[in-house]
Amino acid sequence: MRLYLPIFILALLGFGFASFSVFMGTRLGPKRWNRAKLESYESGIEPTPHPPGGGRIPVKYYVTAMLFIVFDIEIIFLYPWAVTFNKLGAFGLVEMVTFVITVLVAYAYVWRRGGLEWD
Amino acid sequence: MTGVLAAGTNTDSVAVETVFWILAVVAVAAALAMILVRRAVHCAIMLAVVMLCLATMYAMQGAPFLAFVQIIVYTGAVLMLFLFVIMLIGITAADSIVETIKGQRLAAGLAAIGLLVLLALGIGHAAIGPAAPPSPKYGSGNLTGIATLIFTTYVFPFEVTGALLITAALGAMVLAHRERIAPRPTQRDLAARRLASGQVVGDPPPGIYALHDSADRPALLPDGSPAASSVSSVLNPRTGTEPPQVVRPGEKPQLEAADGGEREPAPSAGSGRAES
Repeated sequence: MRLYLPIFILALLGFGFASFSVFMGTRLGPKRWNRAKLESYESGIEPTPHPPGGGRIPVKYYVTAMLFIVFDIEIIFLYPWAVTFNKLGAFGLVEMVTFVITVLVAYAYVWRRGGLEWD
Repeated sequence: MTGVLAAGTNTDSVAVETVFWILAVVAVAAALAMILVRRAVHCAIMLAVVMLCLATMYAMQGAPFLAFVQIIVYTGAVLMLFLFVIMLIGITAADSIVETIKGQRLAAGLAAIGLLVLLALGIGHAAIGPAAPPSPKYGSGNLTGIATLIFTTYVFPFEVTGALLITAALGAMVLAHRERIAPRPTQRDLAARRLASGQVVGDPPPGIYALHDSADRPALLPDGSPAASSVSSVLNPRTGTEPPQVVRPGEKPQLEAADGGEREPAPSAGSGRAES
């Protein structure tokens, strides 16, 4: 449990800062309530009962989301690798470089095909 | 329950159990709030709380790898994707009583009963029967254990996972990517097109002189009518614009008292006028 003490303190600091900011915001900030303030994302697109165009939404987001997940899973493998890096030695390094290059193939493909362009 | 939880030494076990009970209350409260809260964004935040509680519990039981996977993948990625979807689509807080999927309620009820039976069996088994030994093979150093397994015994499956990830990205591209056929117009092309069309100045941004500054609220022209060109063509322009309210300096704006709605005074159109 001693191991998690820094994480716990960091979480406490983050929570403390967030609650302090929100509290001071309510104390010091001006309060001018209107409908926009109560929306999910103020100044964003207003939530509509039906998406424009009769219930269809653009699927462009899917590529971005999938790439995000792909690289997230890569991070998952990096974590135990980093912990045992000294034990694994050069073999582990070669392994991980091979893996990262393999995943980078996907990135290069999506990038060159224009999957990262939002238009 | 306590036998499973007390994986550490005796001094730690009290702390572990205390934190477990605190987290259990927080997690169940957040899960209930997730179901009962009206706004989709608040639901997502409550789900984040539940996930963080689970991650902490994993860490308490000596499973740091699982804890960090829970935080990185579920809280960090999946939940953020939920939030992006809520932002992109926009979901109202209104409830729909219509069943969109046929037999949804029956299926949900059956699943709930099944889950309840499973939970009762699991908890009952842990409470009455002998608890399963907390996997002594790797003990508290299970992160090193999993690393040793992945990077020595199962090297090949690990490398093949890279191919699986390529397949996922490729599949996403095949399903969702629309190929650009014509070359992308450059800024110079766009400028030339705009000049050729006769409109020299740019489109007005949305929300100018309107009572809202959201992206789908058209700007208002000097006569109070909405400017259609101020809203992106992919959005549904929101109609129902009120004419801007002129508020002279030192004058109190007239507030709509009816529905407690838009209380913000309209931006002053006559800022150059002096107070009489």
